[in-house]
Amino acid sequence: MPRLLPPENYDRNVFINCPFDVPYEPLFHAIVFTVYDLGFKPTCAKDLSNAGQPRFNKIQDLIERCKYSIHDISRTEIDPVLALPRFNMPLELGLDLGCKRYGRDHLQEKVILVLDFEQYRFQRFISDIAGQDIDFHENNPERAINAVRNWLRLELDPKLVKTPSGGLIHDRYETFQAALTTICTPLNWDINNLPFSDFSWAASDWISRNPIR
Amino acid sequence: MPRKSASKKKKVAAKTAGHKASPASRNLHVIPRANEWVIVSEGSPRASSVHGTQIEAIKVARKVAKESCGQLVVHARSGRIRAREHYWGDFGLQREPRKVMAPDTPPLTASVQAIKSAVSAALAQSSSKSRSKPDANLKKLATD
Repeated sequence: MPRLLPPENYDRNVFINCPFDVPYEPLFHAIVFTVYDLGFKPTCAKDLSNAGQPRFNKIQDLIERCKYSIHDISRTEIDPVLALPRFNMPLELGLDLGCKRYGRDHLQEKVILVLDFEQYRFQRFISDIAGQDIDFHENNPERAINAVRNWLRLELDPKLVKTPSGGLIHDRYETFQAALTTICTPLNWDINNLPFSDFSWAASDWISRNPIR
Repeated sequence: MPRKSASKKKKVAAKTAGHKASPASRNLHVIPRANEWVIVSEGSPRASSVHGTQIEAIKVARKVAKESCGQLVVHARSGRIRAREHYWGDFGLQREPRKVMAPDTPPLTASVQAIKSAVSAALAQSSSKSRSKPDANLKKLATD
C-alpha cells in the first residue's frame, strides 16, 4: 500500500542503482563514501536479504524510501557471451522516474542523477532521458566523486552546511582506503570482497571520527 | 610612486581586516632549502616537513591549509612569492558539516562494536605514523 507520509530519513536516503561487478567496485565504493561524507545515507539492492518478497518488490520499496537516486547506466553494453545488453539499470531508472511522476506528494520531489561513463553517450541508446541530471565519470572514481558531490551539493543549504569540495572528499577517500587495509586485518575481512553493509559501517564510522574541519 | 603604494597597502589591510582568522587556521609557506623543499608554518622557527620536490611539498601544504582554513604561500627558488592560495572563504559563517548517518542494515560478518574498535585501531596507527613523520624530517633537516 502506498505511504501517505514520507518514511523516516526520506530526505537523507540515497538509492544507488549501479552494476555490482568487480571492475565497477572502486567507483561504487567512491560513490558510497561520498554520500556518507556529505551526510546522506546510501542504500542499494545489495542491502536486500534473499528471503521473503520477490526482489523487484524490494527494489520498489527501496526506491520509495529514498528522495535521492543515483542510476549508473554505464554497463548497458552487449554482453560478449550472451550477446544481449543488460537492462536492469535502465529498468530501475524508469521505475524511479515513474515513481516521481505518478507518486504521492513527497515522491514527486525526488531528485535523480544519471551517470554514464562518457558524455552524451546516452543520446545514442536512451535519448528520452534528456533533460534529467546526467553526468559522466569516465570510469574514474575521482570523477564519480565530483559528479555526486556537485549534484548533492545543490540539496544542501550553503548557509547552514559546510560542504567539502570534490577534491577534499577524494583526498579523504584515499586516506580511508589506506586505513581500510588496517581495518580489515583484525576483522578477517577480504578487502577485495567486502559486503556492502560491512563497507558502509566501516566508512560511516571512519567519517564520523574524521569530521571535515 | 609612494602615494599609490600607500593606498594599495591600505586596501590590502582593509581586505585582511575583514577576515576572521580561526585559532586553528595556518599560513604555510613552501620554501626552497638546499636541494629540497620545506613547509614552514608562519610563526614557527622550524620546518614542519621536508620534501624532495616542490610539487610534493605543495600537495601536503595545500591539504593542511584547506583543513585549517588557512593560506598557502609558494616561494620560487629566487625567494619571491610565486603563488598564494587562500582557503578561508568559507570561514566565519559558523557552518557545520552534516552529521554522518549510520547504515540501516547491521553488518554481515562482524559486530558493530568490532568494526568500531578496528576503525579506532587504524586511526591510532595512522595518527602515530603522521606524528612520527615530521620528527624524522626534522632530524633529516638537522643533519643538512
